[in-house]
Amino acid sequence: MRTAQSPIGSRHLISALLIIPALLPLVLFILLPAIQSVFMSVQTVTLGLPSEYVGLEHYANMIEDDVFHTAFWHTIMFSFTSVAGEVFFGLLAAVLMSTRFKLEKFYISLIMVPYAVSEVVAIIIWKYMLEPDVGIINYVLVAFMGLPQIEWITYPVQTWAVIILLRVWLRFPFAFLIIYASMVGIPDELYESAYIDGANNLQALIHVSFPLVTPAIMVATIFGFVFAFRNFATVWILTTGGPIHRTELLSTLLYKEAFQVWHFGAASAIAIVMTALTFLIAAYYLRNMYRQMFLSRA
Amino acid sequence: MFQKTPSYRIIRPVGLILLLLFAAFPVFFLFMSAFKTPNEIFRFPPTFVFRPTLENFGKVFTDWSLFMVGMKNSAIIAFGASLLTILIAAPAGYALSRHQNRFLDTSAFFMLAIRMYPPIVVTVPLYPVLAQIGLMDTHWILVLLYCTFFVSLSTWLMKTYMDEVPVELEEAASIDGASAFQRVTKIIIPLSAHGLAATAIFVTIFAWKEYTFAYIFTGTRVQTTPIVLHQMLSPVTGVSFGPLFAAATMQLLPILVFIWLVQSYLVKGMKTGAVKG
Repeated sequence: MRTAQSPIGSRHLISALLIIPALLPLVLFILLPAIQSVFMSVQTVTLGLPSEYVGLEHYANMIEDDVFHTAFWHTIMFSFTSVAGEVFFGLLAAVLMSTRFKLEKFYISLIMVPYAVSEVVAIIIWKYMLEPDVGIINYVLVAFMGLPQIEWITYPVQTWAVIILLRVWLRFPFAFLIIYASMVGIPDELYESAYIDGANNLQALIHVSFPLVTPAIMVATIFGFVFAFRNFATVWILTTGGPIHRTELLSTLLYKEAFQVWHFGAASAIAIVMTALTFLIAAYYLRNMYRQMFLSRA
Repeated sequence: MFQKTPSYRIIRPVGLILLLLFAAFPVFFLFMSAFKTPNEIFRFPPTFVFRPTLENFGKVFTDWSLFMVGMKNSAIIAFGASLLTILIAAPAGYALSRHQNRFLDTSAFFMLAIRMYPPIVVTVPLYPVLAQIGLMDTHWILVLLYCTFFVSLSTWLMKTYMDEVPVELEEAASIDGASAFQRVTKIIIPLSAHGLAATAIFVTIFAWKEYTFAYIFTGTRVQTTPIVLHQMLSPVTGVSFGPLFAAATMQLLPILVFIWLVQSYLVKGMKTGAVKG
């Protein structure tokens, strides 16, 4: 904890002592289990029995399993559509909020509302609002717009629409804040010079705002995917992946393998796939951070 | 920024109103429905003018004592996880802010990368271990796990806040004969209090709404509110919506008020967290 005058050696020791308590839980509860799950994926592990090495058998079974394929494509489809929705609404909100005004803070606090809501409460709210017979959404659709009512429990496409709607609602405030922060940082002069050159609002949006908020959109998108791949609660509480795997995700399949039939080995193989997907997306962000941290100083 | 043309004057307010409706109306509707009688809840078309009643809240207290226990558990876990995270992230953030060496750089990058790891994936290898050492179904396991998944963000947050405290202040204090302990308690902690607050806020919000870990690692002894709410949503006897709405309101309202009170910290923290950590 000394400053400049301390000898190098003791400074290193002190800084290590300060950071190690923070690294400890990460190593114990994430890194070691992560390594352990690689080993578990090549073994047959059942609680209370000695485990047995089976090589790549779980992976081979997984690749041949139709349910896995379904869950995999559902995860991809779900992630793309919900992230697209989150970023779209986040960007839209950021554009609408970008010109400063008096009630700004109040508006932001209303946009932030879904951020406080847990998945289960979100499901309670939206299930009631989407109720086919008495729900307020069907009332609006049928009475004011003359559209057919949503029977979302019966049709898989509509079930997915509800899952994605929930997800977009829960997550778009996050995308909004990231993009908004970048949007309000754009200097007014850039807009003014565009207007002097004869640009209209739409052209200014496309040629001034969008290029400058692209990095923020990238960050929102990457984090969106990282959090979409891991999503379990929304689908589990709403449908448990059913009926007949029609809303199965990798996460719900993993849960069933591990905690309903206690096939820890097979569950670990799914876990490895989920991890790979996550780091495939995160790699771009991590590479940028790595460059910023290690190469910019040189 | 944008020119106030006639179309802008129409599109912007209309867009904003639709956006705010989308974001906040569902929650407003939940709060309102919590004060309706069962008949009123299922009236079609939905009503907005009615005689409010506290009946549903009463039923939560009498029929769902589990829910009140859940609130207590959630509060204990949120508080414990916030405290633990602050205790370990603040020194780490200080180290990253004031010192520079290979080990720290590597640690900082390790923190960024490891936080991407999907939580549900670690549940599989952790389950047998936790069962063996008796950490299942305790407050401790959720405190530890929530802390683990927020320690990276929190350390980076603390670093950012501490970067804003000039080193010269510490050096001056040191020249005036202040001990290391005094420098920490008199300078670092007071000046980075906002960082500590931001950390506690993020952990609290997360702990309050977390479902997956709570669902897998707790049983009957330590249930948090999201788990109890899920049970209220799917009982074999059929859902009673009045008490369910009342309970959801009790779960959501305190954290919502909290978020509004601390909004500025949250906004700054999210920017820091997403861009840097």
